[in-house]
Amino acid sequence: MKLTVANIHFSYNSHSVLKDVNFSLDQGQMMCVLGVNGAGKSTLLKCLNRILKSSQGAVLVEEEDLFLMSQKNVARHMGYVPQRHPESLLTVFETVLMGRKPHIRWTLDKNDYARVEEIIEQIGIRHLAMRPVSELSGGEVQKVIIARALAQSPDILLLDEPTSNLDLKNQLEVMGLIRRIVETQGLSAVVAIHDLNIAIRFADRFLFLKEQRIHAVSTKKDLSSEVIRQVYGVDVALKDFEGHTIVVPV
Amino acid sequence: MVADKHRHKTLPGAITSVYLAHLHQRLLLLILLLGAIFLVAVYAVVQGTYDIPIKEVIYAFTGKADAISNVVITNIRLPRVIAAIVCGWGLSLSGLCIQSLLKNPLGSPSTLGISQGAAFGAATAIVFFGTEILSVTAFAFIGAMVATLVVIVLSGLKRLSPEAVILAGVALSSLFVSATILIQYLATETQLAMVVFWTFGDVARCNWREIGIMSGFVFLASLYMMLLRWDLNAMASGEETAKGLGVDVEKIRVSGMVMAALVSAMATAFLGVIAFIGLIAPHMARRLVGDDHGLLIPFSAVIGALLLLSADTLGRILIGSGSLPVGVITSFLGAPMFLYLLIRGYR
Repeated sequence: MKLTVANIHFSYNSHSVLKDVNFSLDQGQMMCVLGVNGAGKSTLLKCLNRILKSSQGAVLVEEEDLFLMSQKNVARHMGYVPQRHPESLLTVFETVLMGRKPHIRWTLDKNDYARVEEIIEQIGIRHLAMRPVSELSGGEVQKVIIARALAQSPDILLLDEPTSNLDLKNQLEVMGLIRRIVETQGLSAVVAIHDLNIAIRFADRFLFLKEQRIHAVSTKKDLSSEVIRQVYGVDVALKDFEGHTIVVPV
Repeated sequence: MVADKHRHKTLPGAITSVYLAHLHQRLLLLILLLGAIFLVAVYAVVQGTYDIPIKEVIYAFTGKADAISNVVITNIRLPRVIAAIVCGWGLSLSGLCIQSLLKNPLGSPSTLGISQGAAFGAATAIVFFGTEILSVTAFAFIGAMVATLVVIVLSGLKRLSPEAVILAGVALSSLFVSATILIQYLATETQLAMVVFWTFGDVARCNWREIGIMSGFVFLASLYMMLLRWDLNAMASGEETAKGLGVDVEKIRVSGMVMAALVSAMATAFLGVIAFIGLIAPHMARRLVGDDHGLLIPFSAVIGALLLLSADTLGRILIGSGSLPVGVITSFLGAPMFLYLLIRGYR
C-alpha cells in the first residue's frame, strides 16, 4: 500500500527536530533514511507510527490517516523494529507471538499460531524457535525482531538502524532479508541507517535529512556525490564495482 | 521442489504443538504448586499449641467437630491460613505488575515505599479517625497512591534508572516510617499498640470480613492482569516496542500501578507491612517459567501464596506459643535475596 507523509513537524520541548517533512513511498519499495547523527532519522520513524506524536501533519496508508487511529490500529498497519532490544527470557516463539498483539482480542487463535509459524519459517529461524532470545547472537536477535514486526501483518515496516550492531556478514544477511520481504510480500519498508554502501546496495530510494528538513530524495539512478557531500560534509566519489554502486570518501 | 512443497505443508503446527506441550507441562507444575499450598494449609490448620487431629478438621467443615476445635479452626487458624494465601497472592501480583510496568526488577510494594505509604495512611486513620475498616483502608490507599505517584513520575516522566528509582523508594520509605513514628506521639496507648503492630505485618489479625474484601480485590487484580498479559509482555520489552505493538503505554502503566497500589494498600491496611514477598515471588516464578506473563502471572501468584503461608507457619512452629509476625520472617528471607539480585545484575 502506498505511504504518504505530509507536513510532519516534531519538537522535543521547544527544540525543533523535524520540520515540514513530506514524501511518499510506493508499495514494494524500500526507502533508506540517511543523515548525520542527530539529523532526526529515528525521530522521523517514530513519528510515522505515533510512538512520538508530531504536532501537525498526516501519515496516510492509501487513504487512511494513521493520526486519526488508535495506537492499536496503527500497529496493524506498521510493524516496528526498534534500535535496541532489552535482554529477555522470552523464547523466540513467544517473542514472535507478541507481534500478534494488535490482533489479539482475548486469547490467541489458530490463525495467530499459523501466521507466526509461517513467518518463523520464512525468516529461517525455525531451529531457534524454543530458545530464549537472551541466548541468541546479535544477527539472530535482529531476525527475531523483524519476524515479530512481520507478525503484526503490517503494510509498512519501519526499521531503526537494523544493522548498527552487526558484523558485515550479518549486515548483508539482515538487509537482504528485508529486501526479500519487501519484494515477495509487497510491503514497503522505511529504514533509518548510517552505512551508505549498505543502503545503496539494497534500497530503491534515499531520503536525506539535514538540519531538521528533507534535503533531498533520490533514487538509485539519480543519486549524486554532491548530495552526499552536502549532507555529510565529506567529499565522496560514486564508483561502479561489479554492478554495485559504492561510495568512496576522497 | 515437490519435496519442498510437501515439507512446507506438513510443517505448520509443529512448533505450535511443541509450544502448547510446553504450556501443558507448566500447567501441571502449577497444579503441583497448588497441591503444595493445600498440604501446607492443612498442616498449618492441624499444627499449633492446641493440636487438632486431621479428622476433626474434616468434621469442622461438615459441622460435626467439638466446640473447641471448631472455634480454633474457623476463628483462628483457618482465617490466618486463608489471609496468608490471599495476601501472598496479591502482594506477589502487585510486585510483578510493578516490575513489568516500570521495567524495574528491584521494584515491589515494599522496596518502593508503597507499603510504608499505606502503613502511614493506616496509622493516620487509626489515630485521627478510629479503626473503622473503611477509613483505614481508604487512608492506606491514599498513602500507597502518594508513593506510587512519586514512583511513576520519577521512572516514567523523569526516566530515572531502576537503581535511582529504588533509592527514591528508600527515601520515601524512611519518610513514611518517620511520619508514622511522629504520629505515634499523638496516639493514645491503645492506638499506639495498634500502630506499632503495623510496622511488621501479621496475617493473624484478619477477620473473615476483611479476608472477603481482600479476596475480592485480589481476584479482580488477577483477572485484570491476565487480560493484560500480552500488554505486559510488550511493556517488559521496552516502551517503544510496546507502543510499536499498539499498546497504550501511559494508560496501562497508570491503571496497572493504581491496581498494584490498591492491592498492596489493602494487604497493608488489614495485615501490616509484609516486606519482600512482592519482590521474591515474581523472581522465583521467572526462574521457573521465563518471561511470558501468561505463565508468570499465575506462577508468581501461587509462589507468593505458598511463600507467605510457609513463612507464617514456620513462624508459628519456631516459637512454641504465640508466633513471630510473618513480616519479620519475610524480611529475613527477602533482604538477602534483594542483595543477591543486586550483585548478580538482577537476573
